[in-house]
Amino acid sequence: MLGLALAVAPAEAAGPVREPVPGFVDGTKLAALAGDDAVSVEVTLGKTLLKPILRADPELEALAGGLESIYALVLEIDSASVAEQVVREIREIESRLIGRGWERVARVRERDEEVKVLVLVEDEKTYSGLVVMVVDRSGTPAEIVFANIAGTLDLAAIERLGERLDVPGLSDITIEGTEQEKREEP
Amino acid sequence: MNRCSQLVFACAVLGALLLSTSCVRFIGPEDVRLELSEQAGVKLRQETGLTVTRSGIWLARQFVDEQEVPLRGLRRVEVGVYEVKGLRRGLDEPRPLDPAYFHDWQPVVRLREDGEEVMVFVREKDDHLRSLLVVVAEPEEWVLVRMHGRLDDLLEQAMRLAFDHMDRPDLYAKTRRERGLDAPRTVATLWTCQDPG
Repeated sequence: MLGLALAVAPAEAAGPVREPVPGFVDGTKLAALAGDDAVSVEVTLGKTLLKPILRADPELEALAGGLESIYALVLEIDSASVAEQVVREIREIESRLIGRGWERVARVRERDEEVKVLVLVEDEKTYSGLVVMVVDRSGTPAEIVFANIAGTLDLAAIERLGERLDVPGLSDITIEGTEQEKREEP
Repeated sequence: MNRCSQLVFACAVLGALLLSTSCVRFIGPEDVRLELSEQAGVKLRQETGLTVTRSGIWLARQFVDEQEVPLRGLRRVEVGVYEVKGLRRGLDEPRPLDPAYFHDWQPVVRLREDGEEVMVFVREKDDHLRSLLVVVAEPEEWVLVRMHGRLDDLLEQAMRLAFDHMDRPDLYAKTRRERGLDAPRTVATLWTCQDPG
């Protein structure tokens, strides 16, 4: 009913934001697990929307022209049991991704806070996917951040994207190299 | 007739023309308001409303600096500001807005903080941004904005200004001056209120 009410123009099918491109990781299950009331921020940017945004910054466009989608989610969960369920799902996502060839580039654990950063490496300097997951259970509500960038992008693009678009989870990230690259270092 | 009288006369003629041709109406996206008001169980009273259609936008383009506000491609803009007059019977607080109700719109942004909710939806066609809907729901006021047209250029320019501002806020004013954005060619600057003599 609402859809009809909103449709001034003929209804057009919404663009496929969640295309199964390499590097795409579906984080919407976390939102579903936590419940609608827990969603504090949810950002879903598909290629159509990203194109004009990137054009506005030629340097960023050069670094991240192959970007397909950005998804970011911030959850604030009051219930400890629900938070535990979401954390369990985050661990499952992490092990699934590692099983599929993703590399862990950062894992920080501090008492009630945990940060995980995983990338899907395309070649030496480019990634085709990035996932950042932050769990902060130091207070109530527990805060959980999930961010996914899919598409071909330069290492430097990740920092600039976080800085430019203020994507939750990306703003404070500095990528120095994957575990594989570190192993190869003399 | 001095310059001020000319301006007032021109504005009156223009206003009458715009209103008579319905290219500007003082009403917001009424269908959205009715539906969301029903969904959330909130009584809304319009404070401000404006709908500008294609001919009104064409006219606006004659006076607005295209570099600052790229209106080309825009077909329709509707803005409504509403005061929350109360809740429907039986409700202690507004029902949450469910993005699933906007089934033919694609959700882009959803923010919730201290009783305030912001939702942004888009529609795409042929890899271009065609429609945008913004819903801001605060405890005392709601704002609805709906735009149709080819919106890619508008978004790009808006992001460029935002990036400029973000990079060096101290230089932002200077950047705007350099780009000639500080003195848009508006009705006010075209018709300065001074006697020619």
